[in-house]
Amino acid sequence: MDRRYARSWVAIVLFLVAFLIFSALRRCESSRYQYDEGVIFGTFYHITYRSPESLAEEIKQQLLRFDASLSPFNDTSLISRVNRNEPVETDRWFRHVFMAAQQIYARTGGAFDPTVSPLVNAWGFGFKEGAFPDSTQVDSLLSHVGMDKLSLDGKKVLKSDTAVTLNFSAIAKGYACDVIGQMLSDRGVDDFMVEIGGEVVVRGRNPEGKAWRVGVNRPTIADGEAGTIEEILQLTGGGLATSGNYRNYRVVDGKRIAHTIDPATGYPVQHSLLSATVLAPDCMTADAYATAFMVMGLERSRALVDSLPGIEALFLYQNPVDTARIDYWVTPGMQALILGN
Amino acid sequence: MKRFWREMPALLFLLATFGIALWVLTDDRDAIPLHFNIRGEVDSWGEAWSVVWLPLIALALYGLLTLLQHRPQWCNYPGKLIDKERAYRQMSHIVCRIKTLVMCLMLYITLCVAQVVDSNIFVVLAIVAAIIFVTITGWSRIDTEP
Repeated sequence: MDRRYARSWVAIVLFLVAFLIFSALRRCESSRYQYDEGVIFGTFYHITYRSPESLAEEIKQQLLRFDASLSPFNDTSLISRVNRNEPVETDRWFRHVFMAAQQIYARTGGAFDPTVSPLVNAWGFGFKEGAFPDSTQVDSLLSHVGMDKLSLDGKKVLKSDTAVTLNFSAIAKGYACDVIGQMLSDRGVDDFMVEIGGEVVVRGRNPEGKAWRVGVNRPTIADGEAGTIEEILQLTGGGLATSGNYRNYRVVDGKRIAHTIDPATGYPVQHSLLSATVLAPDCMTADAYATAFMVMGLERSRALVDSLPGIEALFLYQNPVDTARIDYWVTPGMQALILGN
Repeated sequence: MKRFWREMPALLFLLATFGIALWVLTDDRDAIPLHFNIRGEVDSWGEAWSVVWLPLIALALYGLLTLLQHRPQWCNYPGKLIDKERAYRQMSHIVCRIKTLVMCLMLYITLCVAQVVDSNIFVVLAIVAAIIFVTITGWSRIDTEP
């Protein structure tokens, strides 16, 4: 009996050792990083993830489904059909983004408004380029802007003004990153970075076993000035989005017209804030607030970000005295993530 | 010789824990996992030097359990012992086995923190269940007065 007992004990110890070796070998096998890239929503995506096999096809299919729901570049997408006032039932992605947009619209006092695209187009920053609108045109278009003119009734979008159109470009790329990130998590991937059009979701570690590193561009003030990296952030989780006025602008009479249109006035914003980088638990939220902050300007954004739990921000702005100088304001949480701190 | 083989696994697990921790410290890592959630995902990271706590805790546990192994009379027993010598010898074996399993658990945690193996709550539960099993089966073999 004692010998049998001793033998079973040896078997347990051997099993434990074998299990540890097997686990380590399995981990080695799954330590390979995959890299996928492509085009979606008229922009590029780059995805790096630790997985023994490529999930490129699944990722692509998921992005195409997402495109069919929320892409304004796709004429047959749900959002395009909603904009044409067709009687369509929305899907869960659409409703999730719609409700988040409504929430952030309210929280930012209307600074984040996905119905502002007719004005963006009129100023020549959207799908259609043209001459700048006069004040009559701006007022006319402004009367058809406002997230409060839309609501959800079950799966249907109700409009109090049928001329109101939706464009989730300032939130959907971030949400697409979240969707792909969730898909990877569901497949058991613990380490990944999903980047779509500059919006980023990260989790875990990079192939070097370190935190993922994401560069924040230095805004260009003078024309032709090359964009360089201003700060490098080290991230192990969350969504990061940057919105800026330094890339997409038009010059009229030597004056820069920013592509960010204030939904309250209908005119391009005029303030010192050059770029807003936001870190949030999810990329959808980061994306929306980054856009909202670019509308609100430095002072209002600083006041708001302090009242938002879980949101960190880095604002790069033009020095009011020396306009060639770029200063920055950063929340303590974001400061801790800057490489070198 | 029998005693040597009985002691060897725990000692090897302890040395491996030290070895892994030393490797992590010299691996130029900027952070290590500090906490895993129920799904085995890392939900907290800390500085790489924190890994030294694991072999130190393992060493402390090894020392305490070795002491208990040599002082079996300090342990609790299910009743009044009939043959004290035999019961103490039996208890010493139980503690030795518990020590081996605890050292294995510490090695597993260190391997998870070093990201050599994936963290899995079921492995931890299995080792804890093995400790309970060893204790109960060992106790049941100690002869006590009814």
